[in-house]
Amino acid sequence: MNRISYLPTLLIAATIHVLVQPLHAQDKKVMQLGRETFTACSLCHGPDGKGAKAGDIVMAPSLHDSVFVKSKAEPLIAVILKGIHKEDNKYLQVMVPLEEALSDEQIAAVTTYIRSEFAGKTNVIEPGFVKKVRKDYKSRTGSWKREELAQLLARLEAGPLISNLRYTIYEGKWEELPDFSTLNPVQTGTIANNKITLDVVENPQRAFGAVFEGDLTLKHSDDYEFALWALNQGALIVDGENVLIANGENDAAIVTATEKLEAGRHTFKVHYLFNGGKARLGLSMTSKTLGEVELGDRPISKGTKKNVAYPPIVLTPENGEAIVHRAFLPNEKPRAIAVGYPGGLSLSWNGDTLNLSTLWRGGFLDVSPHWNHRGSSSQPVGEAQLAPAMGMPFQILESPDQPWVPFSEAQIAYERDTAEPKAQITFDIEHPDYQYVGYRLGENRFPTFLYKYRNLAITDTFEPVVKDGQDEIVRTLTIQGQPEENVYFRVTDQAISKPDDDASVAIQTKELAITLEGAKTIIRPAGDQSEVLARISEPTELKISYRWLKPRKPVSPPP
Amino acid sequence: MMCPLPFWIRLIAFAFVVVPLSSAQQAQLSDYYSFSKVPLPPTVDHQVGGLTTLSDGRIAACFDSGEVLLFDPKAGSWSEFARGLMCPLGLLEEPSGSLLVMQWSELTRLTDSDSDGKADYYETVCDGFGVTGNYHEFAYGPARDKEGNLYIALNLASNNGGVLKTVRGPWSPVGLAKEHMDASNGKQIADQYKKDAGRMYSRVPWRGWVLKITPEGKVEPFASGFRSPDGIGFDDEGRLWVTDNQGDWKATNPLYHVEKGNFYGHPASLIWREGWGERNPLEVPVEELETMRTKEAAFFPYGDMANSLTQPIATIDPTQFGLPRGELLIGDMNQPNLIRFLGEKVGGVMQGAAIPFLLTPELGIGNHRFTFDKDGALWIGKTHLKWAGDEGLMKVTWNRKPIFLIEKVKLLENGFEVRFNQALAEEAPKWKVSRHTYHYHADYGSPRVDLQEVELSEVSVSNDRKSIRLILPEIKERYLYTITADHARSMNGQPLMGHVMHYYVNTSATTEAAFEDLLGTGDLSKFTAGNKGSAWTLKDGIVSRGPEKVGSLMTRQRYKSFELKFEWKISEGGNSGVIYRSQKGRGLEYQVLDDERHIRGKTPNSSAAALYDLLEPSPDKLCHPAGEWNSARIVSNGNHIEHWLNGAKVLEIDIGSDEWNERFAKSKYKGIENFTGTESPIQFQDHGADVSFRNILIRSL
Repeated sequence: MNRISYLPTLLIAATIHVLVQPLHAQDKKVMQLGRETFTACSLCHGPDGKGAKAGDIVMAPSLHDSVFVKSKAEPLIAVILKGIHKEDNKYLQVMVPLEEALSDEQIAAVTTYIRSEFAGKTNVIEPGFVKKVRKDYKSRTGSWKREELAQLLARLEAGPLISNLRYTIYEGKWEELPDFSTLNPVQTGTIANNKITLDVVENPQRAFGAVFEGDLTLKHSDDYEFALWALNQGALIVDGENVLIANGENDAAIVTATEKLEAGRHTFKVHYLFNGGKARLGLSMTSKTLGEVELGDRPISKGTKKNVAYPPIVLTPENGEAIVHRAFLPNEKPRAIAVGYPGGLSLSWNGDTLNLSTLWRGGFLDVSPHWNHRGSSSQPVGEAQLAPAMGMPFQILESPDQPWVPFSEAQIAYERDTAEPKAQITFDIEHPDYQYVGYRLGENRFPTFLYKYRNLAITDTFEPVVKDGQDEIVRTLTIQGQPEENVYFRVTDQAISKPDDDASVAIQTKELAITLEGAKTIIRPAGDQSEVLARISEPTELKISYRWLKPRKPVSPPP
Repeated sequence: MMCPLPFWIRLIAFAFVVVPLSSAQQAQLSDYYSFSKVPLPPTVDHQVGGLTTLSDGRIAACFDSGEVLLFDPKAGSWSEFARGLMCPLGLLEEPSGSLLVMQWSELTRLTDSDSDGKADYYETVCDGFGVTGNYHEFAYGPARDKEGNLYIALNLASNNGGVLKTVRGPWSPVGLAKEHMDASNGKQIADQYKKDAGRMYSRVPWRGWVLKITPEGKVEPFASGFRSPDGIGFDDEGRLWVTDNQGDWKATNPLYHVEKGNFYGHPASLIWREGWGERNPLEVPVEELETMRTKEAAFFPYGDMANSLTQPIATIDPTQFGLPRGELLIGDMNQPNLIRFLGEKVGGVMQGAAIPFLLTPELGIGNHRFTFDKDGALWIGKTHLKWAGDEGLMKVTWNRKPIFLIEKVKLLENGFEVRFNQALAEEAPKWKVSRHTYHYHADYGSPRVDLQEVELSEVSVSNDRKSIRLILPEIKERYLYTITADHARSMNGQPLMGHVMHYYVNTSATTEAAFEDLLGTGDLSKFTAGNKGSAWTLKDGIVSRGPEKVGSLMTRQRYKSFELKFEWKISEGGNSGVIYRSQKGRGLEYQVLDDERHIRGKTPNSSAAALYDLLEPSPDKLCHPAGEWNSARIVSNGNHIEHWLNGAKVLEIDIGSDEWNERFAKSKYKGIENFTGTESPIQFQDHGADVSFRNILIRSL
């Protein structure tokens, strides 16, 4: 392995000093700005760049010995932008990220200044270059670890890994990757920047196949992990051997495999087909020395972050207890609360709509996006979520024709909105009729949600029933207080069957059989389906059962 | 008061000496404090969002993964109290034993109603604020005042991230063109959104605000202008303190003394200010924002200390942790450092010195939440949330060995007085002073502006050798003074702990001294009264009209060109005023009124802060209702008149200008000869309603 060595620099620096060209006026300005910007750095690195001391403690490392200062400009800029993670107490200070604090001009100037002062490098770094580096590392969150920086330097030193990259495009629609060698291409060519890209395809709207091939030159014998992201399908072949096949089952699926490869030249091919939806192709290679290198123009880490960068953290109910977990959930209003019951049934209840939002089964919640990012939506896992009656639960209907208004929302369009006239934002306004109170945890931490609707006090609780291969959630809604005239509770807006008034026959949606006790129902058209409403004329207890019609899909074991 | 001069010994005519730091002069922290890690269960994410000591001595902590755990120091073990919370960032015990926890989208009360050690009731205390789903909308608090009101602080959103498809609104379109600020609509459009939105934005209420929640659950917007206020807490005196983080409109990390109605500098939140209207706050000229904003009580120079500030906590009994009482300790995310803040009131506002404390690698970084346990040990919860920081829980214990430290830093008219808790050694410390200021602007942070070393004109020591006076050629307001005392040792040879002070001079002592406190004598000797003036009563610095009409309160001295600062509180439906430059009782009047209930409140030029019957205050004036204090200022400088209300200039006019002549001709004063032309006592009017005044400060111009 090619370790980074800390060369003695005094002699080199002295020699280069003689070679320094007189600075142009423009350069002097840059150096002046660099010097000014460096004032902040000098608090820790010292005005002489040797590292300031607070007593016996060194604040920050000497820049004279720094490989980042001596290397190309990119690593130094990357360090200034993102900072360095503090892994030990060798230095008092942490290298803080300055990407928000400093402009491109300032970073360019301070990079020029540091390289000139402490490594004798005379070239002026342009703000445009900083802008590019900023963009290249934009998606990166968090400071560098020392190991990653070593990899960054190694990557720069290794130079381009791929050479001689060629492409061949085929037209046609295939369900699976065909044997391309038997087909006639419609398009061939070479790719100058040696990055795998679908941009070369002249007709990307149509179904097509593609083969990319080239040479892969490695400096180190090592274990290399390849990651392939291909929609709809793709395969990686190295030295004639199949390494990876991605069959595009999942929107964000990528496949990975690790190969032990010797230093030297290898040949590789990527086979790809697109037959509808979104065309995506990304390939990356990771080793201990180099870290992750993107071989295509579409970074793997960007498209598939949630699957790749952070392993899922799936919460699973244990010991017969429910998990009640507040989180942002996809397609829900912000105050969602997810509940996972033992036995694999889950639901979400929303503090904005004061109602059951969704039901699902086969798994609970992947909280990795939230815990690993900041405030991202958590992902329900298992089967698709069902939403029998999203929105607010109660309404007063003055006449049977009065439409149901499920959300207390408003839309706003913007005056200055010229680029896209339709643009609107939906916002939830606090509904004057509702007041959320909270939830109580009962036996086995099963929650009962509490709220007020006008003069009524409502409790809403759920019980999973899993037996004889059938999945059911039984909901109990108690309504206290004397309802006003014409108060209705919406059971579902997706009924496809016609139950009788007392709902002793199950209401059927495409996925669920719903039964209701405790109130008379009315049914009325709602789009292609029907809306079932329960009339609430007295204090009552509604029992609503949601039973899945189909048997549960077996949970596939983790790959 | 300054000590009489003979007790001060002038040391040297000061020459600036650069002395390299040496380890010998630094207090070795390990001599005084021990640092230990508190083990945490592996089941939780060790990022601590909230930390508090319960009345029974247990420690409660909440974690980024959503749990609240309780630590029993006797058993040495953790137990789970609650779970499933969203990004909890603050904890507070209630008298009932319930715990309040600040979640992303609500303040929640956790109650263990069946006493099994686990909360079973998760009750919503306050959800009266908007949530867009933007990653930066953290929520902090609560802090509780003596009356039981709760205070929470809400972050702005960042244009570095998008929002949910449906936000918890209402959504303000002011100044913003577009829907979602994420890239889903194409990069170019997204970039335009970001530009329009501002770097940090407040599209839903009350992002960038501190909210007050009354014991009855009523939510009141309390103060605005915050960016990322990760720390909120009260001191021993009942003052509310909030820290903020460097960024746009925040030159460096500030500490604010937060009072109702004030605006603390970040304009995004102004969208939600009552009566703000359709103006884009980002387009308000900086000069105007300057007149509106309340300045920082302290600045912590970015890089030197605190790249990111966290919780302020009041110090406890000095016998327990070694620090004097009455200070604040403030956390630092990016440096192994806590900061002592030694506040003092100058010119009616809080400001003071920030001194590093526990600056040692042993402390580590990520210092986020703090609590003192029953034995006086400081518990420190760490976090990073993917920024620079750390994880885990640390306990810092003082070994009861006396520390040599700075006890007080007092601003003088021409310098600083630094008081130590022990006598200084014969060998004098090497003093070094520099000063700089910052820009207030939309850019992210500010460089140090006009940084220069300041030569000391004189250094003197008190005869007990516990105080040093540093005399400078001048003290400039809005400058941050960095004072370094190298080689400071006590008489018994102890090195000084914390030898750098950062004092932000918001108001200079000269400014303060220039004002005469008309109630400073503790009586009404500087006033006379109209008819039966003795019936005005003075109690706790507040002068109030008696229960019956007693006639106006008038200054003994006469004024014409002056600056007057005062606070007023009017009763319901009440009317009063401050009349100046008058003849026979008729002159200019700063109207004092209950706008809401008094009929005159409907007419702008007779509403509160108006120049009565002549000029109306600006329509977006912020006026607190009857029963609450309002701060006022009158500038009467030659022909120039200004009225201020709650920190903002609400009107100005020049006597004799065209506008003046026109308005004067229409007013009830028309025809009065030499109107405003004479000096007169200033009258605090008895208009038949209960009214109170306090902090009446005046200077002649």
